[in-house]
Amino acid sequence: MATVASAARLMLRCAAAVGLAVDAAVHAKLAGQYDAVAASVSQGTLFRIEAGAAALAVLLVLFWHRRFGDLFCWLTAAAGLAALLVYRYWNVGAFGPFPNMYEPVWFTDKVWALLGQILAVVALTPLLLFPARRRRVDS
Amino acid sequence: MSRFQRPFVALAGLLLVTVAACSSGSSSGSSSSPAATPSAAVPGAAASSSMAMASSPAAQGSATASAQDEVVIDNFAFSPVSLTVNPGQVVTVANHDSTTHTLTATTGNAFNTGDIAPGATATFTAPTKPGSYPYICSIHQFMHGTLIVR
Repeated sequence: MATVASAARLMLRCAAAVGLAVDAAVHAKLAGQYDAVAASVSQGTLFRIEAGAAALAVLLVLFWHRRFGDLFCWLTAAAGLAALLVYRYWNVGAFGPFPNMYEPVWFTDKVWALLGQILAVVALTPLLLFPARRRRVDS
Repeated sequence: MSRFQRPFVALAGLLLVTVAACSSGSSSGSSSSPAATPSAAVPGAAASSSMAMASSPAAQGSATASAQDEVVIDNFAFSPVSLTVNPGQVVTVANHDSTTHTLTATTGNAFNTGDIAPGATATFTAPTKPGSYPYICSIHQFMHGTLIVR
């Protein structure tokens, strides 16, 4: 039973890593073009931050099996997903240092980022809700 | 993971972040290059404009069009910003970005390409009445240009 649970957790981690990797790749690819959408900080810079956080999250979810690491991964994917959906459907306008990132259209790269983020959130949520019990090593 | 492995993982993470940031800079150059794929037919949004999609590849469209009847969209900017054409002239719009754009007159529904998919090309017919016609991308409204008909 413990083996099945471990295998399931490993599959969830791999799925989350794939989703986060797609998220990182798409944002890294698009960042250069979105430098043109700028206020105090450009949308390209925000894309690089998302890409960097998602790339780090890939490593954490695969190699650092800690609740804090999983939480960081979940927040990276969920925050990116929230921003993507908000700016797709709601004209927030420019506020603070952020430019107006409203873009009421879907295109291939955006759909890939959306799917990657959804996959990561879906895979990470059970890992956070049902954390693995850590084995005690008796010396 | 043992204690001595943790710094290694942190270092690897930092390396990956750096690579991601660098790759974004290099990828912007390639993604903004002219599209080599055939143009995709994208439905237009305005009924008043003539929507004849170019059937040739975008690169060929650039070659066959004269220098004065094409607008290129690259890195969220129209080029040239101001284009002078003859009344009723067909203008080609090539989208070299990785996102969808439009070229839409700001007043009077004078012309509108509708959505132009990444790498695709569209055309519209310039108004027959001489004048200056400002236009925008209706999706990214900070993008501006002007069509001068004379």
